[in-house]
Amino acid sequence: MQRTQAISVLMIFVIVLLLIQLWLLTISMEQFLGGDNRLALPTFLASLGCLGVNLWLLRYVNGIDAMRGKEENTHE
Amino acid sequence: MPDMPQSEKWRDDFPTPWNDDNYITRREFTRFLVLTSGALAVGSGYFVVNHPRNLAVEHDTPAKVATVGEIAIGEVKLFRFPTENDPAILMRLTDNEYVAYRQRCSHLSCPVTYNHEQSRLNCPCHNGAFDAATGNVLFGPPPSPLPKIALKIEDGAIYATGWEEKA
Repeated sequence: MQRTQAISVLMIFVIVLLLIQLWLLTISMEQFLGGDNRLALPTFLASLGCLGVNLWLLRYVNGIDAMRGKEENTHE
Repeated sequence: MPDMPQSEKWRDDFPTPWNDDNYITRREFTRFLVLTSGALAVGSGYFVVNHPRNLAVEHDTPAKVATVGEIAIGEVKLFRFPTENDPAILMRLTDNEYVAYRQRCSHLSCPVTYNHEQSRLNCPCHNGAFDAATGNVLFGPPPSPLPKIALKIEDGAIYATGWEEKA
């Protein structure tokens, strides 16, 4: 139950960051189609930052899995 | 009733215990979201690598667009300039006044259409409009005027020679 709650919280964090990335991509695309790309690098770096945080959160997901495996081994 | 063996076929098809179902599906979905996050970051990188074309420095060789009198007053002719990937529009405003613009809206590159009665070029995507004589923005979201193509009339033919002003 606690594992499911933890995964849900992590999932919500990832979704929020994903929406921010989508917004950043939209900004870049609008600027590009308008013949300008001054914001391309800042939005790319911000998007990379979001990806980094997402990968960091993914470590916790894998960590929960590892804990689960240990618990199952203990029960056996 | 005989004991069921542990290696029934259905266990291979449904390996997840019922209690873990929510956990497993959310975990996999979260991993998929992180993968999508990577794709979005790569997508943003595309716009760093590919710069929008600077029309102001592009001056192709003069291209014949039409002959004088080929289009009537208020009519248009579509052509490509400076390359085959660049749609352009030639308009005859009065008896001897021709203008040509890049046919992509400066907002999000939608094709613009000419309205002779209103003397303007309309962008149907987001309701923007440009002045037909100058290319300046009349209203709507476009941030800059339409790039205007310089024309030259010679020997009864109309040539596109380059860009009149900085795009």
